[in-house]
Order: sequence, then structure tokens, then C-alpha cells
Amino acid sequence: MKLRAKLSLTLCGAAAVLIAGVQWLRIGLEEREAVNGLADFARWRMESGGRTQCEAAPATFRDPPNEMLRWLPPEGGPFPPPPPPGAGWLGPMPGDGVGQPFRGPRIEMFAYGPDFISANPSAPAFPEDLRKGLESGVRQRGSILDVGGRHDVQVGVRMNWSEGSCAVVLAWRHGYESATGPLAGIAYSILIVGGLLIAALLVTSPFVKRVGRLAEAVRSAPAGHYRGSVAVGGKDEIAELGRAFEAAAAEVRARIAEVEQREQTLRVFVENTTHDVMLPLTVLQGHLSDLRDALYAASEGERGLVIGGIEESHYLASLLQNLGVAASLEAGRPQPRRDQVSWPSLIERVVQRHAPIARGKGVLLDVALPGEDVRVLGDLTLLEQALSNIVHNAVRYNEEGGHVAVILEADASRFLVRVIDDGPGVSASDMAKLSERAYRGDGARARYPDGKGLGLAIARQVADQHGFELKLAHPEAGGLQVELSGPVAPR
Amino acid sequence: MSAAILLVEDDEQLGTQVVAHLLRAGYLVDWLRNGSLALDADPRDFGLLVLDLMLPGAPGLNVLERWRRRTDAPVLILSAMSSTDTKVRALTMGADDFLQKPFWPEELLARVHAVLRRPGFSREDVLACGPIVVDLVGHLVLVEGKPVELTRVEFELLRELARHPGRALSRKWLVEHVLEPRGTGDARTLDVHFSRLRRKLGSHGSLLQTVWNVGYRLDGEAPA
Repeated sequence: MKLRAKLSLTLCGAAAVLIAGVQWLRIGLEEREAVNGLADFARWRMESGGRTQCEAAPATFRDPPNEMLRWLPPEGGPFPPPPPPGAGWLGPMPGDGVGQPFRGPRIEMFAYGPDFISANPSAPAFPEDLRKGLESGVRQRGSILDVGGRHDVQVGVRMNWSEGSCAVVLAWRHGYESATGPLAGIAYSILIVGGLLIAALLVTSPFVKRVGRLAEAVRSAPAGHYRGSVAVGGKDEIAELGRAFEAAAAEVRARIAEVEQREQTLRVFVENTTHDVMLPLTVLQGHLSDLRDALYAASEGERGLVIGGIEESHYLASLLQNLGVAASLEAGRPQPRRDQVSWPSLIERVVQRHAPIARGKGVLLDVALPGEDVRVLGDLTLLEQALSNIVHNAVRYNEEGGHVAVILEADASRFLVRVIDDGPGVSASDMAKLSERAYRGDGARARYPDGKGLGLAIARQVADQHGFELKLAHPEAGGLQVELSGPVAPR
Repeated sequence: MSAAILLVEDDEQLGTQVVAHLLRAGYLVDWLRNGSLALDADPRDFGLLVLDLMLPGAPGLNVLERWRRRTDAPVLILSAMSSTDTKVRALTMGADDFLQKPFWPEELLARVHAVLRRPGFSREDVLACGPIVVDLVGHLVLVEGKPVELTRVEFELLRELARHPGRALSRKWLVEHVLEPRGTGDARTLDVHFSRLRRKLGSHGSLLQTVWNVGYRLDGEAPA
């Protein structure tokens, strides 16, 4: 859930609980007040003449007396039957003129003895809960009754005198209404919660925006190599968070710079060393080649020695080149270069590089190229080394009289380079290993004990990096077929 | 076109070897040992320029740039495991190809042949491949000067092979580009066409080679 929604919801939840509490408290207070008021009224009535009336005729006493009842408006609900005539009137009711229809709250009172039994047979039985309350020693105890949807207040009051048939009075007020109705209470609550919700949204909006900006800045930081600023203005915790991240980013920047520097030094070293080694290696290859030509007329054994030397020198060169390529692959540049590379010239170069070795070994190395140019987007050096490794493996592990064919095919959208040989192929377990991505953690020795796989592993990495597909298959005729395919460059 | 080659290489031993191999292959060679001399050289005197990129005196790329302003002669770069940037820059600046060190003398000669035979190739009216001459305008094939009667499909198959002497064309390509457009058969009839063609070429039929797992190739000279 988003921060803003969460904040608003929490706030509203808290507000709702608070409002409910206040409402409950208010209702309680109002009820207490109604009970107290009614008790005070009952005492006042009894002390100002009611006691005399009651003790004079306890069997008929009630207030208001029966003859008043005909002025009262009709109403539903339980009401004791009218007592026989003769009951006296205590005096005017507050806010009500004699002979006028009764308008104020309708209040009835009945008197009871200390044993909570009324001498008036028409009086209702004293309510049980009120009686228990009074028996526990309090002076008065009230309750709110629900009479068919109407709320009545009932209060039992112990008088200042504890004897006689009028020691306890039950006062009953019909139709008690809370100062604010229940519907009004709900409406108020909704209004308050709604207002709070809007206020919460307004108040949290700038905070949420700043947190969002901070999150965006932090999210984009790795892509920008932690060079961008993420500071968020202000002095609160959000700004502090921004500053904390800024500090962390500075640390990361320093580390990256350090690693890049070290990597750069290493790469330059590898490049320089490779360069320095390649020159004498070229000269050595020239000498070996001359030696082979000079020994052309010599015995087969002597020529075999030179050809062995030539092969090893070639292998050495390929290992060195793979070293350079592996260094640049491990440097982990996620995107290779995307230059236009001509497959036919690349394949021609690779085949011509391995032609002397193939000839020396007696392996027929052939190439088929389409009549037209085929261009792809990629890194020239990496692609050349990848294909060179595939062709080199096919030649190196083949036997005299064997064949290696490199075939380029292409249509308007895709190219396919196939390198087919009729050599010994690779074992099923090696095949499985070569078909999956190499793990960095394993040593090259452990991965490819015979050294055969290193070149193919690099070819695989290059293919993966370019989004090309590298497939190994055993053709029916034996040997190994390596297929490299991918999209051609858009024209 | 002059077959004289200008080599710019600072390493004494490598330079000596390269010059020796080029001379043995029948080329005239001039050899310069540093970049500033190469800057002053007139590239128009040569049919091919072979340039090392790491030179004392002046960077090889500067030499390449200066040469390109003065001549269209092909330029072959010798590079020692240089980065892709350098190679791509050299190619975009007008180099025709590059050769990565360490290389074999045979490799160098193959590149030199390839670069020298490249220009103007497809515009020629006559394709010559050893004793076999394909006249593109007259739709004629001459073997040792004598015309040979060929069917249309046979002529086109031979013509495509003669465009790239020594280079194989795959069966698939030949079927798709020659047989299918004419509606004259599929991969199986390809071998029939070639055996007839080989017979018609007589004693030079062996120049038409079946290449293992690939297709066919026309060689300029009989295999040793």
C-alpha cells in the first residue's frame, strides 16, 4: 500500500475510534444527567407536598394524579391502569399551565415502602436492577429503558426518611431524547472523518512527493554510476535520509573509481604484454614456416617435428588471444560494441589463419560464403575470436584426412554460420557442459581438463553477450557441428 | 595495376621475414622502418600498402589518413591484438583489411592476394580461372581457348563459381540462386548438373571440386 493511503487510513482509523469514544462518553454523561435530573425532580416533588399526600392515601398515590391523565396525549407503551377517583393534585407541573394540554416531558412517580412494595395496587413492580442498586446502599439508581423504540428514563430514589409507605420513589420519564440524535451523531462523525481524510491527503502530499523524488533518485543512481545527486531539500528525516544515501553513494563512487583504476591498469598491462609477446611469436611462426619449407624434402619424421612445433605455436597464439578476450569479457561490459561487421571477410580471415595448420595436419579446411555481403552488429575482435576458437578446435582435434567446413548462410533477417568437422566429436558429458553457461567461480582447469572447452566456452560467452545462438550437435556422419546464428544488421 | 607493395614495419626481424615472403611470392617490396618516413612516402607508387599501427615517428592511423587522401590503393593493417576500437577506426578510415599478429606467412600472402584481387571484380566482362574463361557478355565458356557447349543452367553454375575462384559455394546457395529461379530441379539434380559439367570441361574437369559437406568450388590450378 502506498504511503499516502496508509497514512490517511491510519489517521481515519484513529479518528473513528476517537469519535466513537467521545460519542460513547457523551451519551453516558447525558444519561447520567437525565437520571440525576429526574431524581432531583422526584425529591423536590416529594418534599414539597408529595410526602403528605402519599402518607395520607398511600393506596392511591401517584403523581401526576389520575385526573391529570385525561389531559395527557395518547401514547403507546405500557401504562398502569388509572386508579380510582379521589387522588389529589400536588400542584402545577413545571412549565405547564393547569387546564392546558400537557406539553413538557411526561413524568410519572409511584411510592413504595422500604421493602419496595407499593401500597398502591396500580403501581408497577419495582424494577429488580434498581432495587439491587438501592439495597447496596446508594441514594439513587437509574437506568435507560428501551420501550418499543422509545427511550425512557427510570430512577429509583431513596427519600431522606426511611420509614413509612413512601420511603422509596420510582420516577419514570417517558420519551427521553438525547440532545443530539443518533443520526446527527453519525452524520457528524462522517463529516469529521471526511474532513480528516482530506486534511491528511493535503498534509501528506508534499511529504509523499519528496519521498517519491528521493526514491527516484536512489533508483536511478546505479545506472548513473552513483554520480548524480540525490539530496532532497529541507531539514527533516526525509532530507536526512537523502543525505545518508548521498554519503553512501560517495563511498560507492570512490570504490568504483578504485576498482576501475585497478582494472584499467590490469587491462593495459595485459594488452601491452600480449602485444609484446605477439611480435616474437609472429617471427617464430615465420621461422617455423621457413623451416618446414626447407625440410620439405627431408624425412617424414623431421617434418613431423616442425609441424608439431607449428601447431603448438599456433595453439599458444590462440591461448594468448583468448586471454585478452577473456579479460575483456570478465571486465563485464554488459553491452558489446555494435559495429557493422562483415561476416564473409571475418570468416575468410579466420579460415586463412588456420589454413597453414590444417594443411600441415592434412586436414581439408573449406569455406562456403554466399555471393553477397552479410553484415551483423557486434564486436569485431570478440566475434573473430569466437569463430577462430570454433574453427581451431575443429582443426586441432581432427585427424589426417579429416575435413572441416565453414559455411555461411543468410537471408534477409538472420545469418547462420556452421562449422562442421568429422573429427572425434566431444563426449556427452562435455557436450552438456559446453551447452550451458560457464560458471565464473570454477577454474578453467577444473572445467575443461583437456583444455578443449576453453575456446568453446569463450565462444559461448561471446554469443550470449551478442544475443546470438550457439548450438552444438553431433551430425549423423560423426564429428561435431557448431552452429552460430543471429540477426543480420538492419540495412 | 602495379604489384609493388609498400611495407611499413619497425621490427627488424619481422620486416625481414615479411619482405622475404612477399619477394618469394613474386611481389616488388619497399620497406620503411618508421612512421615519419611513411608519412612522406608517395603511396601512389604502390599497388598495395601494408601498415603496422604501432610505429615510431608517427602513429599508424595518421599515416593511413595521409595515404587515403592521396590514393585508393588497398591498405592492409598489421595489428597486434589491438582493441576493437583501433581496428574499427582503421577500417572506417579506409583500411581494406587487417591481419592480427601473430600471423603465418601463408596467411599474409592469402590476405595480400585477396585484397589485390578484390577491386573491380564484379564489373569484369570476362572471368578467367586458369584455363577456363567465362565470357559474361557472349555467354561463352572457353577451355584453353576452345568454346565448350553448355546448357543455360550449367553455364550459370560455372559462372557463379568462376566469380570466386578457389572459394566454395554451398549447395543450398547454388540451388536457391541458380536452380530454383530457373525451375530446373532441386538439391538432388545439382550433382547431375555438375557431373555433366565436369565431363564437358574434359581434362580440366578436375578443377571443379566437390567440397566435403559444403558444395562446389572452381580452382584456378589443378590441386598438387
